[in-house]
Amino acid sequence: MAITADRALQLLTRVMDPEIPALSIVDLGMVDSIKVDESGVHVDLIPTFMGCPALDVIRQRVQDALEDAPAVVRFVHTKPWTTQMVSARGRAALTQWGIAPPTDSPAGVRCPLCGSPNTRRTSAFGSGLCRASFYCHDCAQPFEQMKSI
Amino acid sequence: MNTGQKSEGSDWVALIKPVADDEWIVAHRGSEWLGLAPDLEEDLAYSSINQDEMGHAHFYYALLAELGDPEPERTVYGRPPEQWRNARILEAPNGDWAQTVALRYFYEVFDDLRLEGLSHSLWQPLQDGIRTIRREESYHLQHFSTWFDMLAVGTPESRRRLVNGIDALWMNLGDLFSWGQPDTWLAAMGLDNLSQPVIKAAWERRVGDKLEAAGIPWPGPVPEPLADGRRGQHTQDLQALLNVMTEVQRTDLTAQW
Repeated sequence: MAITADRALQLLTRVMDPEIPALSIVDLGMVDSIKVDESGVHVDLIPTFMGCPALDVIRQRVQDALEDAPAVVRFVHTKPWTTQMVSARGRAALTQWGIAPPTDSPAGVRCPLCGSPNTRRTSAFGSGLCRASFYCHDCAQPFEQMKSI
Repeated sequence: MNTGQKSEGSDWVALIKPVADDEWIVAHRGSEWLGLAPDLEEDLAYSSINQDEMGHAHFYYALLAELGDPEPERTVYGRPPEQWRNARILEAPNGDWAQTVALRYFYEVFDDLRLEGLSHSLWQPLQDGIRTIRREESYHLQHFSTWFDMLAVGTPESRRRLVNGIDALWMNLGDLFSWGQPDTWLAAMGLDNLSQPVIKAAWERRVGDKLEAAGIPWPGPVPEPLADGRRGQHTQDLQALLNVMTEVQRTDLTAQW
């Protein structure tokens, strides 16, 4: 049975970021285009950070998710990935997972654990390339934010 | 391949290889700080920064492969020192943390100017990558600019170490600005802003302002290099670095990692 682009997109919503299992690559904004022709499914993905070690895993998971359809997965740089491409559902998933969603400014970032805006950025870097480190003055917990880029 | 202009593939190789090798070598030396940085936050920050740089290098090596170079892994693991085009200062063993901060601040300012110049290149795949890379690099420059200021005003000890680090580096920065090619080559590609005198003058202006703001005396113009890493003239330090870097890979050349 031939797969459609719509069906392929639906299947890709099950491909989760290996570092943030609550977030799909669709909600992350990585899927640039899906084209179907007689040779199979062509998926163009926008890499998040250049040095992201998860890219190979993501490529494999996309191929697995598309079941029997022969898939060609490419990473393209024709437009830069930015954190504005994370969907509203993706932002909610991040918060629920314990990571504050990206914002335009590091001021007033809400703690994903207690919701307080009384937080401070302790470092523009974190445990992964896409994270910044924060501290919540109200619940006295460190947390991470998906770093704005 | 359509490079969009009359420039030859070999011109693009000569342009991209020094950038790729700088990023790779600076990241390798940076990775040697892992577990040793002054605090946990810095350990995370510096390892993220160096991982970014390796990602950038990989992007450039992949472009070089499109232009006919070997695959990135072979380019990184399979070259003798004389085929590397990185600046010599980047292959030198790490000094103390203050010297590392000075080096990385100097390098990030240079890289910022170089990326600005490269963003005007007429090869679309390069332009596309540079756009993403610059978004990441802005964090690096900001990070080391902040560290530089902190050490300059921190304590007499931190300031003394920073000034000593600058002194140790200054005489050996010269080939950073070289392309190992005559400047006419860049002009022909429409990239005059990357030529040695132009980028060096821009770098000296920015670093000069920084030193002045910190009240650190200007050491004078960066002297011309005695040897040029951009022409494959390297110190013994690069061979030592490559020995360490390829040690695991050389234990089994046929292994798939």
